[in-house]
Parts: sequence; C-alpha cells; structure tokens
Amino acid sequence: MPQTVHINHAQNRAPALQRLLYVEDEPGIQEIIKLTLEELGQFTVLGCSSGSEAIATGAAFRPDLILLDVMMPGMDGPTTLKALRQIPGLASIPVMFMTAKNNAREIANLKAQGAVAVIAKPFDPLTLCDEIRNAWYSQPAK
Amino acid sequence: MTSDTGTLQIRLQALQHQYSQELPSKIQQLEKAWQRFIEQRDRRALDSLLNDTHNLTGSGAVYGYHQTSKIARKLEQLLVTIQESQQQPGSSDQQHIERYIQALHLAAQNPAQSTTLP
Repeated sequence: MPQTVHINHAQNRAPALQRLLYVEDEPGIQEIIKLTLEELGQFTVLGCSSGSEAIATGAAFRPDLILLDVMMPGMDGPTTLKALRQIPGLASIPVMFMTAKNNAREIANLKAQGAVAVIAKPFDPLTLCDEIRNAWYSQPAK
Repeated sequence: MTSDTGTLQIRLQALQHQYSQELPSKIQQLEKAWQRFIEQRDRRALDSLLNDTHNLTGSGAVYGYHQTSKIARKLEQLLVTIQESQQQPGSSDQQHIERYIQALHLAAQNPAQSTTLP
C-alpha cells in the first residue's frame, strides 16, 4: 500500500523577510520607495545611492534581500551584483533587479546573472511590497 | 483609513508635491545637457542626458506623471540609438529631441494633463 506523503509547505518557504538593502541612484524614487517599504511593508531598509555605496555599507547592514536598480551611472546593477558577490556575508544574499527594460530577453539575462526575480519599472509604490513578498516566497526551497 | 495609512498618505503627498516643484528644473537640466552635447559635441553630456532621461522615465511614473514618463521613455529610446551610433545626430533626430523636450515641459505642468506625443 503506497504511503501518503504530506509536504509541509511552510517549512519549504523562504525565511521571513525583514531587512532590505535598496540601491537606486534617483533620489526621488529612492525616497518614495524607502518610505513605502518601511511604512507599508514594515521592512528595515538601507537605501544606497550607488553600487559603490552598497559595496561599502551593505555587509554591515546584514540584509535578507538586495534590491538593485539596473541602470545606474558609474556602476550599473549587474556590475554591482558581481562586486557584492565577492563580499563575505553578501555572497549568497538573494537579489531582485528593478528595471524598465522588462522584455523577456532582458529578464532572462538578469536571472541568469543570479537574480531571484526581476521587478518591472515603473511600479506602483503602494503595491511594491506585495510584489516583493510574492517573489520572495516564490523562491525555490534551499 | 487608519491613522497609520493616513500618515503615510500625507507623507506621500508631501513627496509628490516636492517632486512637482523639482520637475521643471529636472527638465531644464535635460535641456542644458542636450545643448551642451550639440554645441560642444561632448559625449559625457550625452551620457548625463541619457541617465537623467532614464531617471525621469522611472520617477515620472512613480509620482503620477505618466505622460511625462511616456515622453521621457521615447526620448530615452532615441538617445540610446544616438549613443550606440557614436555619431552626431542628424537634423531630423535633433528636431525630434527638441520636440520631446518641449513636450516634457508641457506635460510637467500637470500630472493629469494629456499631451500629444510629437
């Protein structure tokens, strides 16, 4: 007689999402997104205005998730991700890219670079928290 | 509406008001970078223009300036083409860019205003 296997999906889910490292060069976008992530999403957020700032301060913040804008002057999102992966403590932190170039090829390219999700810009600040949580809890179990 | 939501709404409105105040100068900055690129053939001005236009595409949509965002996206696409060509833009492209910048000035006056794209 075959055994019935019960899978506890709760145990397979990603750990609770609390601390977000958010990298965005446009101050106006960073300000409104940080506000909604903190107030609406109840996340603890460190906002960085450049890849180099994230590299300098990210590890000490100990994020659960890194949100990276793709197109930034100087060091773009994918270059920042490569540099962050060299830092102990950030090497395996999940990353979500945020990009306006949201065609299938670009999304596949960004995921191939290690992103767990790609969030399309422009987005509604009021629904962004749900979008991030949905993507976070959709990650395959490790 | 809970008091927390109400407070968030007030803070969001304050940020939107601040953005509205700053938007005209952002577009003036684009215009200056464009003039610098055309007059001095300064490729760094084109890089700066492209980056600022990209940011305007994103921020405009986030703050409810959807028409501004749409125009900025078209301008951004044209600027990417010019950047990739590594040549000075022809007169037709120059005219298009100047029309886009004028359309941005108009659209920035009212987030709900519908401006016909050039």
